[in-house]
Amino acid sequence: MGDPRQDIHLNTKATEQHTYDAIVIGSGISGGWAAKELCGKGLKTLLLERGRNVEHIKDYPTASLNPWDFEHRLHNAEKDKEDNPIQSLQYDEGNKHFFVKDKEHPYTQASPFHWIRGYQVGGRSLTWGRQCYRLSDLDFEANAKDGIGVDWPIRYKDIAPWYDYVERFAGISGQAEGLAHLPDGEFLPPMEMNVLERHFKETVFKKIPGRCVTIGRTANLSRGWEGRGPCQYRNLCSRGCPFGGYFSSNAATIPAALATGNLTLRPFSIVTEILYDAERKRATGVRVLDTVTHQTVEFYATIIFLNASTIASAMILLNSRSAAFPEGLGNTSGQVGHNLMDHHFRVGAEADYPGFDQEYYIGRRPNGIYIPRFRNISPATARKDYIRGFGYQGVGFRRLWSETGEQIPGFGTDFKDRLTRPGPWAMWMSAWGETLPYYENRVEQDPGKKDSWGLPLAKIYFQFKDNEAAMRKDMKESAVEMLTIAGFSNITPFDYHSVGGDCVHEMGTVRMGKDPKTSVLNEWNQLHDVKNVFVTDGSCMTSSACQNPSLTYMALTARACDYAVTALKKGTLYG
Amino acid sequence: MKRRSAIRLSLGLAVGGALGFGGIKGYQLYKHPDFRVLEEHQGLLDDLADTIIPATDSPGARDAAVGGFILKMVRDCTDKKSQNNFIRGFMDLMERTGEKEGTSGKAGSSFGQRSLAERTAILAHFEQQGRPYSGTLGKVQHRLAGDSFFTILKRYTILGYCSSRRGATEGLRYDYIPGRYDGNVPLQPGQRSWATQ
Repeated sequence: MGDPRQDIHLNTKATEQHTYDAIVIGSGISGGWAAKELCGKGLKTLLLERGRNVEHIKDYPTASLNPWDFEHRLHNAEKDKEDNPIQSLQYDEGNKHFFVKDKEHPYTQASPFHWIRGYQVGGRSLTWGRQCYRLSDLDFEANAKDGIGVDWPIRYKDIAPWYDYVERFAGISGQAEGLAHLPDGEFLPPMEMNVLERHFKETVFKKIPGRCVTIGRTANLSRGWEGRGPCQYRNLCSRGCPFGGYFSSNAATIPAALATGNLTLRPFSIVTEILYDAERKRATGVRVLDTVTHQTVEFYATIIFLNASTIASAMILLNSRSAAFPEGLGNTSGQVGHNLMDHHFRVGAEADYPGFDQEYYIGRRPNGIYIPRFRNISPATARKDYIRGFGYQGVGFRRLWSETGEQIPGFGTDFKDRLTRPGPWAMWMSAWGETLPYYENRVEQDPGKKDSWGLPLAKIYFQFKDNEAAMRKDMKESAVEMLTIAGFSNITPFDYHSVGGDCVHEMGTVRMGKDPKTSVLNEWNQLHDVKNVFVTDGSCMTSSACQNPSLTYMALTARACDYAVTALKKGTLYG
Repeated sequence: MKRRSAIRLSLGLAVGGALGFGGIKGYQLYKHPDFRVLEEHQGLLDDLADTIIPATDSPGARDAAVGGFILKMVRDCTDKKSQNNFIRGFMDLMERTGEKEGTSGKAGSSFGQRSLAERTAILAHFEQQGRPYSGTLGKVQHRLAGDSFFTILKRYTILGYCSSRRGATEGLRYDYIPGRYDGNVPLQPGQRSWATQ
């Protein structure tokens, strides 16, 4: 075993060699974009990642393995679940190397919250769900209209061209539907619906006028794109794709950033704080704990992008204390760490479909159907029992041995014959709902508790409330309604009561807003208080909407990078 | 209030009954399981699995080395109560079939040497005895008492076979790299299910 950082050349001798034009903290889905954009605009950029390096393809050890290649055929051992009670809820034998070990990375749950993490280059962009939906003015205007939280400082027209821009590079497959509240994007060809999904789509549209069922919009490449892909329909995405069939930092943005010659990638680098110069009223750089040498190192730059993920970014700001910012950098509003959101989900229904016995499919499509929000989108669809709304993700499929096996009675030759034939057609649909920003849902430093690096532990308070509970009733009932009118049988509603964090859509702890007194970031994702620090991960979200949020982080990041570099060149960065 | 406690009472009674399957005493569920009997009788595990999924025009569970897989899964991926249920049920079965020391060798198990009708009758007994309750009651039963010997045996036989190389590629259809998605393909006569979703 040599130096794990052997292929990264670093000179740690002099301050000037520690100076870059820009520093990006975190290499996940938004940090990767920041690195690509800043490097592309000619800035010498240092990309810091607390975990190990993961090189595209080379470091996907399980990507080409068969089920029988895994000791427990992809099931987690009891000992493993005991050692990793949180992360094991999300991983299996095929992708567990892209999740942290709970024991090595403790945090405090003041109330139940599952903090899922992937500390490596690429972060959780390796294991994400890949669904990509634009927000609209229905979302950007919602807080102002409802008097909830604070108003977003931007509207759809501000972000629309940046959605175009990131979609064009990332490659999003999907079907244009012309809906104002779920705007179409620059799509690659849509993936195909199967025979049951088409039946469902047509019946629902006929019987509930205006109800749209569309194919999922996903960052899987339905054709070759930017030298990546196409998707091979293996449905093993979260192990890393050797075909580059989906968007990740590792497959897409980091290689693009490296190709400019402007990127220095530094794994094993925990940012403990952002350094602040009170006289010049700007951040000067970051302090890094090198987890290989155990040394503290400082790096300096003109622009800093904080993309450590919603909870970690708030923790870094809270830990960056100085005389000027005794409560944490950029935290004069006192909002840093507050307004934590995650989508509430795992509620819906599943059912069998009696028919299409002679129809089947080829390939494992890593995508399903999507039903865009249909509640509270107009006066006619307004609800009295809750505000905001939800969308469904679903899939039609023929049940497999793993589901039917134990239900088939008996054993022996007849049993085997039934077991190995395609099972009945079925549909599963589950809703993803908007969660309101509650000030008291928050992360803070747990006083006196430190991790093995001596850094304060995160203490998380989180609760879904009445609006989410009322919405869940409808999320369940509406699923049953649609399956009923489409002729399904054995309709089984479910509500598995998700805990905060389960959806891995943490948002809101460093929110954008118009007023520095009530928000942390301005309309360009700049700290109101410190103009050369930008935060463009999920922590910037002012409301959660109900759409899968990563595409919005990408667009906000590209937009903020453009603003930052333009302002820097014009000399207007500091106002 | 009254109605709720009445439901709880009836649940309690039923679960008391459920715990009684196989005459289990509470302490037997929590003791540290001893896997030696399974290790020494992997041949019997193979024979049991092969009775559930026999070789036909495609390989059976023994061809897919399911016996060893069941042992591994019972040891590594099963909660303690279910582990104890499995071992106890396995020993009960051994007693009924008059197993001798060790069945890993060529001679095989006494169970395996019996006729199909006899093997079927023996397993049917355990299936009947270990049948879980359905619905909510089944969930409570699972939580309090773990799964029965037969439920575990069948579960790991199915998993071990369908996810094995021979089971997936010969008993089912396995498409390593599909390369495309076609959502509407007529089923061919006699076509097997895909091995993976």
